[in-house]
Amino acid sequence: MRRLTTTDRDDRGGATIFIIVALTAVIVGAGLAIDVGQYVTSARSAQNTADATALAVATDCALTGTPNADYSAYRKPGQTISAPACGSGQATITATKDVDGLFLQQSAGAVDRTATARWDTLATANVLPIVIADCEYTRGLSNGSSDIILYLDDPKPQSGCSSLPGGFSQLLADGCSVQVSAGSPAPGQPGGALQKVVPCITNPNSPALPHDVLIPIYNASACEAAGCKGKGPYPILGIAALHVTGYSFNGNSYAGSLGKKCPDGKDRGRYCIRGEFIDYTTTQGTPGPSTDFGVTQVYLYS
Amino acid sequence: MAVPVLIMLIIGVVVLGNALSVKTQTMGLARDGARAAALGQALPAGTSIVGAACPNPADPTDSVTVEATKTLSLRSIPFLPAVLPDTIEETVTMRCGG
Repeated sequence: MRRLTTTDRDDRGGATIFIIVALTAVIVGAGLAIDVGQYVTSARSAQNTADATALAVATDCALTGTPNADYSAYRKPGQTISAPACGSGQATITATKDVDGLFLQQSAGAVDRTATARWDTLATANVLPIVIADCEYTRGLSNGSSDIILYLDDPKPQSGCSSLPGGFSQLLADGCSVQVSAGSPAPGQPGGALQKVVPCITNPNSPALPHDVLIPIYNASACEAAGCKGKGPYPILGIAALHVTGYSFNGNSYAGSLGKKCPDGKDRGRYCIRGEFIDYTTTQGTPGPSTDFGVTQVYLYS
Repeated sequence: MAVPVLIMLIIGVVVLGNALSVKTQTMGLARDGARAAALGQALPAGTSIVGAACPNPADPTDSVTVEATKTLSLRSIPFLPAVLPDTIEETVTMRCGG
């Protein structure tokens, strides 16, 4: 007698269902991997573009006050950037790229990344162990010629600066570099062998003059009032960049048109530096409050 | 028939994932190299300057481009011709000195 119900079910086709489900899952997984991978690489590329462009915009803002018209060199094909603008000490750039999903979703949207670069006056930095009076800086900017000549010895016939010991003096340092901070006094080196500074100015590891050096600026009137003549300490106001084109230190000179001696004669002005103050950006040192002498630090903030 | 296809797909996902990982690493390396070149520092291994380097002292109106190259270790997808390149190159351009 046959039973009305049976347990002998037909299992044929089960493997096919399993394979179809597994294949679908793997294909979806592969599509997801490709799409997410594309998104990640696009995001990374956009971040690189945002960083590079923000730093370039910040540099231009620090030097000229306005961004350039074209920053296309810093971005990849298909990327766009937000309008560059000089904000209050910072520039923010957003780089965007459309990302189309290959498998899971067409027109998946856009990926964007933002970077902010800041610029500020340099408060602390490693500088050449020379210090320049602020009145010399003012005179250097207003004299109308590209080069000025700073004298160590006093009197300084071409200088309107009344501070002693002269347009520039020497800071206490072991080598060619000393750290100074705006608002802090820097010890001087009275009577120090200024000849030792010559290699620092010529900088044998770099191309010959002209080149740019960071030099601190001191408050001449405060220095004079405090009686720091010739020996310091020098009240540092900030840091300037001098484009050095020549020097003459007691016959040890980088010639150019300066010759072996400083232009004002052999009895005085035996030590002089020729150059011009320039606007300058740097990444060394620490930004912070200081008098603006044209040197700014540009750095990536976020 | 379905099992080889499944295995090929799974290995393909692994190979592709590795390629994307290397691509992201290469982008980071290119970025680090460009920053180093912009600041006049030594370039990290695997990077090289494309074109002219930044002058010394750095001219902040100039730019430098650095290319980073990394080799793909997992490259071949079974049963398919190699569709991925041997190496991945990425370039990044940055402003000198800034």
